[in-house]
Amino acid sequence: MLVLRRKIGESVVIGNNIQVQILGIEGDQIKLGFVAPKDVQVLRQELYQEIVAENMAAKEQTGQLQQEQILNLLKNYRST
Amino acid sequence: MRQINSKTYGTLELDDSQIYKFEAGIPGVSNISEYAFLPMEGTPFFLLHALEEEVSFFLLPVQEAVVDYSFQITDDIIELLALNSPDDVGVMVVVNIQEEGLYVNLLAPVLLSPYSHKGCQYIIKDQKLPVRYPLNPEGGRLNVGAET
Repeated sequence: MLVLRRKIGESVVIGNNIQVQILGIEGDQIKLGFVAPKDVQVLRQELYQEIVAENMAAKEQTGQLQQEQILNLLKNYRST
Repeated sequence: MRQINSKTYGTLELDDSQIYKFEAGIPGVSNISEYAFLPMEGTPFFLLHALEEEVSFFLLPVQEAVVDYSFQITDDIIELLALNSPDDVGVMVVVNIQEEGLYVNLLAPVLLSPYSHKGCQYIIKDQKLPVRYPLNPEGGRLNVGAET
């Protein structure tokens, strides 16, 4: 892991087009600002991991079930 | 006409208009950027199947799942999906099939633009919404607004 010391207002550049700026420190929290291309999502790690886990669960279920079972399940959703 | 040979679904035929590009990828499978978006006959569901890999998701138009669902999309998303107006976008929720029933992810809807054929999974940051929300077994729509 690369470790850098920065002051408030200073920035770090990742690759050619991602910039992270230290905006301030409030108690034990650090405020960061991000400038990144549109296709780069900047998210809290916990939130990102939660979405990854749910996507994996949704993907795996569809891998384990038989097509017929799935179709029956989905068709029943509307007909009931 | 193109084809996907899916282990689960057999041969899927599609044309180019059914292909969506997910430039940012989908969290967990972010290496995949091209998906086919196909209706599942006789159901309100859609299949989102990767073109090159054995990866697929079920999607449901959000209005089939819940009422009173709304969120702000950012300018970044408008630009990423090349939307002319925020209304030019289809909002889908990812379906998770569990033994006890069907669930949808309300926190991270899939947005699709039928004009630019671009898509993304958008994570709603400013609202507390469930990632696993049960679909009503009666088949009716649920009212999210009433619960929050």
